[in-house]
Amino acid sequence: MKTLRFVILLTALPLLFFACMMWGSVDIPASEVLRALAGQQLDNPVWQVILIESRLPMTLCAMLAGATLSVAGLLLQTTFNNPLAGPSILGISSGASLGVAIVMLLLGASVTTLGFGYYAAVVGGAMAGAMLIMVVLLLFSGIVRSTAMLLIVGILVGYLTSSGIALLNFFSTQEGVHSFVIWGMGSFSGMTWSRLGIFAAIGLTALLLSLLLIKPLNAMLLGSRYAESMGVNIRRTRNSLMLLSGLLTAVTTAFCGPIGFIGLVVPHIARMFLHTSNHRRLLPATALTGSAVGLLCTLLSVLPSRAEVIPVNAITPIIGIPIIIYIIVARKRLHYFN
Amino acid sequence: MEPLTLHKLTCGYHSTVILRDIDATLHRGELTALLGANGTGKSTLLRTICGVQPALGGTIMVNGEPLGSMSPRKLARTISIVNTDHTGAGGLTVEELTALGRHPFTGFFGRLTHADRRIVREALEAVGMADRRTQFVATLSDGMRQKVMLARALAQTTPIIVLDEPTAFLDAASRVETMRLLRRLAVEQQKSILVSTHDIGQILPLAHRLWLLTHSRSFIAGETARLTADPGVMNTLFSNRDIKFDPVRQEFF
Repeated sequence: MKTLRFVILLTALPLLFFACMMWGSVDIPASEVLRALAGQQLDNPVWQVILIESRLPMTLCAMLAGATLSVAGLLLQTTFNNPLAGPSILGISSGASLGVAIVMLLLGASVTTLGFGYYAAVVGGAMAGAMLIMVVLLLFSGIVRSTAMLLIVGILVGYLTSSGIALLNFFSTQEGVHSFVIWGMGSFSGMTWSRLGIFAAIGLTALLLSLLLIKPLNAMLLGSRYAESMGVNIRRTRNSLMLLSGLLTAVTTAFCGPIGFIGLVVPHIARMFLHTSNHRRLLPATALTGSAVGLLCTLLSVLPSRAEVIPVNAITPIIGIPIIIYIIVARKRLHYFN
Repeated sequence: MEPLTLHKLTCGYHSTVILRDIDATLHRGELTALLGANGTGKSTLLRTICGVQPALGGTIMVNGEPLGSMSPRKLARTISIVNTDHTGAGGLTVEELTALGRHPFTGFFGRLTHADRRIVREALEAVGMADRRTQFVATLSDGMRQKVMLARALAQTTPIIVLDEPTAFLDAASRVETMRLLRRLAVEQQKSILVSTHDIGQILPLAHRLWLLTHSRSFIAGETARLTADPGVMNTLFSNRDIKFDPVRQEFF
């Protein structure tokens, strides 16, 4: 039964992947998609370019972004013992946004001048911003014992960074504001292979590192006192969990914009689907579910209008909010809450 | 050698001393009850014994080794705990939760060996929860859940188990059942079990020894029969003079 559910998840992924490759501004038949993926030259050069230079990097980016944000959310939910923790709620995404805003708006770069150095600066800015918020949260987690209060601190810090961003916007050029607003809507498209390479190198490394924390994560389910009594070094574990979720959030935010709800909701979907809180199965399942949700968002962003790609952040709340409301309403019936 | 010896132990927070110069010993195969009104320092003492907070003075010797010098892993192989902390373990099965007790013994990825699985099974049998091992923890009553937490402590195979008011949220039947279970485990598995509780009526017939924290924050330790024979000793537990101990009924009234 448990393996069956994993199999369902694993078959959903390639189906969604193919749907994303086939449908869009131009519909391309599955046979041609397969040929292009197999490395053959297509008869239609336009399809060739669309598939290999645009859709494939976009699709892979969506999978990776979904996985990284979801795993970041899971790590945060276990670290804070709070089912409503997530990268956007704790202010980590907004910290990364502030970093990106400083780079985009102060350095005055525009979407038309996308050099490699510029992207390195954006990634660096996002990392610095996310880590700054993480340090603030870590400091407060030493002082504020209650996790609910810590969430509120995260939300307040998020407001602070928003006001910083508003100020930067106010004093920036029109061009800078425009490119920042576009980035802020969130997007998996517009990925080039070289940028995807950097994203994948950092994102996959962070995902692999998170697998190393499965054992202490399970002990942390019982709360810090029990975990400590079973030999877990709480301070070190908590710090590495927070640094790792910061890294996962920062790298994705830098490349795709601040994407809401995926990090909060996907761990819940994975728990409900697999019926477990055991991170040994939950963590890989969360990454896979995150990839599937990333693909679903991509599909929904290209299907309605065909000519234009809808911003991802217009779609994630539509998927996310009904699930959060269901979780809140049904929490007495959900095993992992009790 | 006794599993746990306290010598001139002083504990508290930072510069605030809560308990001073405690001398006491936990014995193998015995259930020891720590009694005292709220605010007398029961939890502080238990946390100090578990190594969660450093002692302000004196020594805690565990199997002849000072507690302060033990690594977290070694400590986790020596003392296990049960308290009433809220746990987010509802989505684990009874078996998975119990298996968490093997944490200080398993490798980097926490994979269980055959021997680990046998220990987990035996721990569940010892608390009478073996037939529910595939059930989710969320579906259990509070009393059963506490039994699984105890099974987890047994699976940790520590010579010492410390329980901080484990029956606080349980109904009357589960309280009696849990306390009896503790006595049986202490004797059968030769564990040293230290339990703090307010259920004085239930624990007195079961505990081999008592550690009393009086309302004036002094510490008295001794065999249950000896201490309860003297109402003068038992009456120091509470500051209210109207609450008296009846040595015949073994109860406060």
